[in-house]
Amino acid sequence: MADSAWASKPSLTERVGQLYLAHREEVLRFLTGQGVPPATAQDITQEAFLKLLVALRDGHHINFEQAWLYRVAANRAVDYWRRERRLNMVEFDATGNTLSETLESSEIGLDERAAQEQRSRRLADQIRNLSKEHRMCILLRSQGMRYREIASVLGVGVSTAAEWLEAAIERLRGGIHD
Amino acid sequence: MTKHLSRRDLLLFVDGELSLGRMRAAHEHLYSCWNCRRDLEGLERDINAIVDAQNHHFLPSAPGAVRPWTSFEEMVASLPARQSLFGPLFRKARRLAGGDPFGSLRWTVAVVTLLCVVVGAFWITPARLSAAVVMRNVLAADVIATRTAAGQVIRERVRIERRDRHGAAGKWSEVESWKEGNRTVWRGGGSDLHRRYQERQIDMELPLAAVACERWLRETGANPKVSKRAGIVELRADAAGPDSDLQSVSLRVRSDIWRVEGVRLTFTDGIFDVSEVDFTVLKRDEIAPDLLEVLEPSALAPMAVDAKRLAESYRDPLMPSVSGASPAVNLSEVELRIQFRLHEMGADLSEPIELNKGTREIVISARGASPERKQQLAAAFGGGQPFVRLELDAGVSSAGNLRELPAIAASGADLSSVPDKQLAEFFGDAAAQERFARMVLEADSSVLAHLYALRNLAVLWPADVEANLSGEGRGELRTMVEDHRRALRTTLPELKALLLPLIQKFCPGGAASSPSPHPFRWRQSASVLQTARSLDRTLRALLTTSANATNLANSCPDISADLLSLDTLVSESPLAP
Repeated sequence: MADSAWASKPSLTERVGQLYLAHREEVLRFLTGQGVPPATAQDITQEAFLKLLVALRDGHHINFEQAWLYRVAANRAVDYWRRERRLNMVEFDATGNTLSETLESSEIGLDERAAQEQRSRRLADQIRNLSKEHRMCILLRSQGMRYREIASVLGVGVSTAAEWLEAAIERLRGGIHD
Repeated sequence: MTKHLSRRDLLLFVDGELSLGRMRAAHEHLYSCWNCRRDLEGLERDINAIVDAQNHHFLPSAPGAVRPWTSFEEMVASLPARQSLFGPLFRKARRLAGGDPFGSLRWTVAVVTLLCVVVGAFWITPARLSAAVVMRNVLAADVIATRTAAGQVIRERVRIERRDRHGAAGKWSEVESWKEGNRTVWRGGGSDLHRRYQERQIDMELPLAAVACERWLRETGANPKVSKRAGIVELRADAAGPDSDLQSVSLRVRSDIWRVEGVRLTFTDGIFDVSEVDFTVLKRDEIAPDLLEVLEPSALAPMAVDAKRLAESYRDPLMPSVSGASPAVNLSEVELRIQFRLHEMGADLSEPIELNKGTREIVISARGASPERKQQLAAAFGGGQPFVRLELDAGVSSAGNLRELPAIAASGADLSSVPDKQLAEFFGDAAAQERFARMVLEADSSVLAHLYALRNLAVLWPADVEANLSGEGRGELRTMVEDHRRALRTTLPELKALLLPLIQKFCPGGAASSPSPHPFRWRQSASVLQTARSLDRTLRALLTTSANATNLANSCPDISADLLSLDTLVSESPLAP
């Protein structure tokens, strides 16, 4: 068996390759949602998956591979913000593409749908205005991560992660019911 | 009704992050509480709205990829080649194994098994134990196991299997042995083995006593080999030459408590396997009277001194008649007879019993003796024995004679706060240090007691007086001397075994040399006694809280030198006057 085959262990490379295909868009949008420019976010995303492969190949034991990916991505995002001094200075595209799709698939009344859509957009704006930590908590929780995984990504304790998540939800709920 | 759920609890409940107990409690509460259930539904609704807003508006609005994704294979190909110190080794191992050296289960199992074998081999290697270390541990453990209070008797029951070396089937018997003080009694079917113990003068020990076992090993004249297996250490010595009928000795010792479990003695005409069945410390009143009579002959039987016989046998031709009617009596002979009885009772070791030789009689003064001892003395010497007067009640203080009654008990010493730092570090904790001090002082006291007894015999019956004794008297004197010497040969190795670890650590080289054989001149035991007293003073200064406290650095060379000197004086040398 050739040395190159050992250098790229097939099963491991395949597994991380599958993760890459499945989650690269999520990680990318997680980064761009935090204000990282798309090109940089794409580089960071690819680098994060490569790092995962190298770490696994070096024998590191990683409990939550997805959480580990987000943690690497979040760290790189923080590096970027420090370098660019552009904390929370993000401009989002305000796309309306989803509105028509939602209207077509729904059976509720137009007025009600319009009101819901309005609320959803307003809520999205509120998510944008959350602090970086709170926004990351919401994004990571909606990816299905448990509190300990979120805490691992953010590098804080589980209770802190729970506290940030609660604060973020309370703030967003205030906007919903205004 | 239970307490309402907080917002945090509701969120944790929705996210499944509550602990099991709190989750169950929250369930029960929500089942019964409308308000909390309404709050919960509101929270779930809002979370759905947040997730919708994020998925439909927030994330889609976040910029996506601005260029085609690089394939993962290309990314991997761009990785620099791995440089590992062990890389070539791993690859070689993989080639040899025909696969991945660490990915396969068999390799993991192989490595773990190899480690276990290496660790196991290291653990059981006999090289870590030497025969000297094993015997030292066994002797020290035996000192503890056989320590008895007054009125206690040790019983050891052993099973003896004798096999004929010429093919005859094995026979076994059970022997019970009792030991009190210096006296040991064997009963049962082991007479053949007992004879062999007697021939080597170790019949005063229990069959599996550490001292007896050590003696058997020494009898072979060879260095024992040590092996260890499943918690048992085996010492085996094959006789060096064909002179003795003893061919080999093998001891089985439990390594957790350092107790001899069994011994195999191989003689030219048979093999004896002796294994312990039972080892118990009994009270005197649990012992059968006939046995007690053998162990303590004076305790039950009066001295039964026949006045006529005494007068006839102890008549001193050089001594004028003390009265017209009475024959001339050699009072030295009477005193020796009394001393011998005291010796048989074990009452000649550091007990407040004085013999005063008057012109007509020997006065036994035992005012300070224990009530039990007084009872024994009254039974043995009371009742109008001729030439003997017993004083047991407090009254006129006797003038005292040459019997020195030293206060050499170990129990009175204050062992609680010895300040030596090296000692404290050596033992680790105060309790262990105190235990050690107690054991050392007990052994030391025992050595001193026998030496004092020997010195008294030498002073009371000097050579010219011994010459005037009857044959029976001389025999009794020799018996007492030999008994004390045997006892010293037991207690001194015990003391040495206890002190040797300290000496080896703090003054290496000391007390390690073998004693050179000198004749044991018991009449000159006063000089030996001086050495023992010097050792006793040093030990008490080191191990007890005393005004003359010393430290280990200063006292270790003295201890070592005194021990060596004592060992030399009381060695396996022939008895000399």
